[in-house]
Amino acid sequence: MKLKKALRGYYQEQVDAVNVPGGIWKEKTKSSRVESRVLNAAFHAVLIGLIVTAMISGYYKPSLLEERMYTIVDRYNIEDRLTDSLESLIIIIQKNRNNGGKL
Amino acid sequence: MISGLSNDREGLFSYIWERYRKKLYYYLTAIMHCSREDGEDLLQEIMMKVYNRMDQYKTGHSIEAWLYAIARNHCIDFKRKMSSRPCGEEYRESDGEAPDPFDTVCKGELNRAIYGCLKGMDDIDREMVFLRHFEGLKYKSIGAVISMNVNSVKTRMLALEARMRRDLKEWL
Repeated sequence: MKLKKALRGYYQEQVDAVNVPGGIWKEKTKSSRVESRVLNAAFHAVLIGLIVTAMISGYYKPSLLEERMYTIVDRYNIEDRLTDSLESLIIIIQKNRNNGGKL
Repeated sequence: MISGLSNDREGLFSYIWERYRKKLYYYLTAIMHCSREDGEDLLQEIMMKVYNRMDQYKTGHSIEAWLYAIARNHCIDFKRKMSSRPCGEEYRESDGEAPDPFDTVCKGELNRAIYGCLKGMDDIDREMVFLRHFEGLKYKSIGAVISMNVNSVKTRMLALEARMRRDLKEWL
């Protein structure tokens, strides 16, 4: 037997005994990575959207005091309903009094 | 076969995967002395590199030399980053059909003798023998893979073959 043939037989037997688990790792290919990146970005966008929505709705939920203030504003026909602070509301009430208002 | 697939990226990659994954895995574990776990990770990373660098492969050139150069460089980088954990074991079990018992005995003894002979060699020599006698790479391609002058490869390979013939003379 020639050396080349013997070595080839030896390596062939060795390589045949190798068991590489799994198939082609498709998730690692370039196109799949792009898809994965898009899905990842979409998931994070939705997640961030939900968090922001929850924060905004919770932040702007009127408290009981604010609701009562709005009632007062409505009752005394104060036009400026964009008041978003007690300070502004006080100024508006003072102006109303100066103008002969009942508030 | 390769030239027909040169424009089909996925097809060429599938061809490489089917034909070379076992050989590369064996090369990584048995020749480059990576553990089996590292070998699996490295094989995946190498296949990723191969896929991404598919455009760099020049049709007509030896695909084996190209693949083994990528695998070798990646393995060296990996070993630089982490301390290597040599396993030094080769695959001994066989999963083929039951062969003739006489052949098995002779082949088994011959393979044991080859194993002992290869074990006594330097890593680089074992690598050269694998690339030359299993992958059938030319001296020039071997030189490109292991970054060695072609004349040095020739000289060293001739010396190795003479040594192997001497060690295995009762089998050859």
